[in-house]
Amino acid sequence: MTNTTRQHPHQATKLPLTESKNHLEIKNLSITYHTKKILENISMMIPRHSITAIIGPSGCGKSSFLSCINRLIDLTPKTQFSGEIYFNQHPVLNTKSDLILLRKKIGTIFQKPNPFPMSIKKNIQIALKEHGTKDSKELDRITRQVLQDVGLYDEVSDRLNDSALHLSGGQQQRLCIARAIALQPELLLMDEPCSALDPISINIIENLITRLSKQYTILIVTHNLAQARRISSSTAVFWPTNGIGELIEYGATEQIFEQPKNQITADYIRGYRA
Amino acid sequence: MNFLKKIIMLVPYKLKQSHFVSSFFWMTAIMVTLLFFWMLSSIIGDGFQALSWEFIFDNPSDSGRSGGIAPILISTVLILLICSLTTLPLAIATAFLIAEFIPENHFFSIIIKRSLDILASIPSIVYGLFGNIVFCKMMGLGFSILSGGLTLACMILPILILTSEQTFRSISKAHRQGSEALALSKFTTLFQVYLPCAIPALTAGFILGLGRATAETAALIFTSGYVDRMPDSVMDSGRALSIHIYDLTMNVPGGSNNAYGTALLMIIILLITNSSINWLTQRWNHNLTAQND
Repeated sequence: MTNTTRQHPHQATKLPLTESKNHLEIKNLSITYHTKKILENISMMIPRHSITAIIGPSGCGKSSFLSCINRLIDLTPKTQFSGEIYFNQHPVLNTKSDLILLRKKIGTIFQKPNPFPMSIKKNIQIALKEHGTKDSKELDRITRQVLQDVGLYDEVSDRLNDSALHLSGGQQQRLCIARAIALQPELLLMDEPCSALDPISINIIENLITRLSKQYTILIVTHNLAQARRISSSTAVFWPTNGIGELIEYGATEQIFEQPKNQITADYIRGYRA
Repeated sequence: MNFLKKIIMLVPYKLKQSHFVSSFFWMTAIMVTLLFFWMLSSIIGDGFQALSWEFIFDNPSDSGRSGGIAPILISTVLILLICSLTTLPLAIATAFLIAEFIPENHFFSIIIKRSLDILASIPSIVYGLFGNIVFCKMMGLGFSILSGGLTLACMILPILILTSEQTFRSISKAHRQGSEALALSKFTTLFQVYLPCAIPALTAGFILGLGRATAETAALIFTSGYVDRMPDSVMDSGRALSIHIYDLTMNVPGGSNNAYGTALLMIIILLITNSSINWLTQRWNHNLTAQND
């Protein structure tokens, strides 16, 4: 809790977009809700073990975009999508794709921390048990491991059987991250994971995200431009044109923030447009 | 209270200042409370002298004019037990089906909900006749505690399903998404995520239904019968408390004293069950729902 200095630890590990094999490929993705188009023609290549920030004003379809990747969009009725998403070269938007496997491999962190109304331990073990880990020693080992990974273990080790709802907002969010990585996913989707948290918790989570990117590919939606700049290696700017979200610029974070090619991006990151 | 505040906001400022409006609301509130206390004091006043340990533990004699109500208490408990054991799983399962598997404006869900609305408003005597035909005659259960319990189950099932369905729908989208994102099965989601969240509201609905079942007379006359002997099994006929009150007041001259006693006991039992169920769920749920902020 004492470490409040802003770090830029990711500067060194930034990956060039072209080199590594793409972990996630999105080709011409469009989403329609009812009859209204909300996203049009998004194409992105996301390399393995990188942090990609998605920025843009509210209502430009960033969250819908994320929920397409793990197919949580299926929960919203009357939504149609076209285009292609490949995760590890496997098509995601195929009606036949194995949603259980997909969601095991893609962890999701939501805007508001959403631990289940049960103990800290059970929160992590519920999904593990569901997906076949039965041995209680193994369960405890993984629980301990993921809690250490998110830096929560020392804070909660003496009350693992307490309700997760007794934790603070930042701790709850880290628990949700622990819950997601317990399933050993490859990709983490984060939908504004810090927007409901206080600055100290944000700092802890940002350091955590940076640390996690060594093992996972991370896609993070954020409204906090400074945050995007601090932690991400590449940035995608979504912008609503006539109410339809479009990807107006996508590139290395440094380039987006220092020499944006698009005039709208340049204005947006300087705070001229909101 | 919010609704009241909205109404009060519509009233012109000057009228508000005149105390006319507030005294009007005070009057209605006092009237309702007085009515309730009048009934309660009358029951307590007349029933108190009938209450004793013998009254609770003895068999009735002289058609209920004297003696106690032990077999009637046992029959009532058995009827309510059968009723709750059948309704709870059915109601929760049906509510979960409507709330989770069928989209809200799907025609099937609309048909189910409309039918439930209508079923919930059917007079209880109709349920009594229905139970008499289906359980007593067609299924051959005769006038028995089992028939009575099942009939009551049919009667409170619609209310319970409707309240449970509302509860499941109101469970936050966050838990729904969280569970879906971890690829949890519907089974795990229901038993481990939704039920713990829903317990307080489900309990409230259950208490409401149980209260209605405890107070039920018409539906039981045709199904569980009048017999005031101690039941040997659930296949015996048994008299519920409410029927005992009805019988003592209407058919037994000089029985009104014990009728008041029975009514008082019934109110006490309802109070005790309601508050203990509430207390239990709160205790059980306290650890889970307490929010930090």
